[in-house]
Amino acid sequence: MSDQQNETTTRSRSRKSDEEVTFPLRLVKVETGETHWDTAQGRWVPVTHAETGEPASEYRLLATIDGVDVPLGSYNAGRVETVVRAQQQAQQSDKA
Amino acid sequence: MAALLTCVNAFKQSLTGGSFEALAAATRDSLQVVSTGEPNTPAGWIEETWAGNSASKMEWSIFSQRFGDNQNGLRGQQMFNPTLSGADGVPQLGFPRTVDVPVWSADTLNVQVNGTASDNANVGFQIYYQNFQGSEQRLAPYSLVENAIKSGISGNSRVLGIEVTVTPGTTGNYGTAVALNANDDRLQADYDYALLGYTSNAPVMCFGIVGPDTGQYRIPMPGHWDARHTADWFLQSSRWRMSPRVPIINANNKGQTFIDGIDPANPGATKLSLYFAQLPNKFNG
Repeated sequence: MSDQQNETTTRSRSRKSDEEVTFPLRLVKVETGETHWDTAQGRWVPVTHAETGEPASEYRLLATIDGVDVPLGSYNAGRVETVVRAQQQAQQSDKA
Repeated sequence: MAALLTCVNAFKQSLTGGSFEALAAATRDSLQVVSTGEPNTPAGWIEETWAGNSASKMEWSIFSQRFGDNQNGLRGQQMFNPTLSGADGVPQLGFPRTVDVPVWSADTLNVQVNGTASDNANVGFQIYYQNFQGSEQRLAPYSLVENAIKSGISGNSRVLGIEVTVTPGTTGNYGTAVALNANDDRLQADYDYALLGYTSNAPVMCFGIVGPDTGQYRIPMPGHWDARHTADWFLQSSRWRMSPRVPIINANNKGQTFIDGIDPANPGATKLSLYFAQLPNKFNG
């Protein structure tokens, strides 16, 4: 293992006790990169939202383990953002 | 006899929460049962229900004076499972598989939910009319389709999956409809195809297919996460009831046959594969 890899490994996890090792988690929003065939255009094109035109995307939960991002789960972006809007609305109502 | 298989979807964005509140019918859907002129004969049957909530568990109910009772009628529970990365339990199929509950001529159904404030809620149901005057829907029985699949055509298996990418509406209503051949144009001209079922790459509360062969009525396809529920949806529906439930689509109508979707939480562009079996002969049903 190179010095750089060793350093990354040390940074990305910490030892709380002999039994427990913790790892950093990140939630990132990424495009899925999906494509589909467009019959009218006669070619493969990126999948986009029919109303907004935005590319298909998702939230990925990543754990950094030994310097490597390990995907632990992925969440539909539209569903997550719908909950975000609902929570914002609820919090605004609470303040009012 | 003109049978009709269709659905009603109802929705509300941003619930008030804390008690039952009414959902409104989605665009071009109506909560009123069709009028048959025969008040004491079932006009049709509710065969399936489905529901979805954007962020929490909830209760739903479907009722009318002639459906259950006029208070809560059929009252069901909607689970919310945030550990499912796909859809948190949207949709759940809320009806017993083999129980079909009659609805009555011109009765108006109510759909309501008791949920959490600011959530979005949808509830829908499949309804089958045994004799709907004016409907020209083409529905085949399980036995006919099963024989066609097993026999093949001229030494070839002709079971296809046709991909179409469908985006449910952003505000709980139906989204933009997409032609059956928009993303995958492989149906062979002049042939009839039986729609067996479907699979999708993400859960969606309900897809619908509408076209000349469905009498321009939407046939529902709940987008359950478990493909074993959906891959043979129409075959099983027909088999359980020993009655025609398998839509027949003619390849020449592919450009006029549209698929759309509805969901409480804007799941985005979703790939849907429709499983078709090519029939060796023209279906005359």
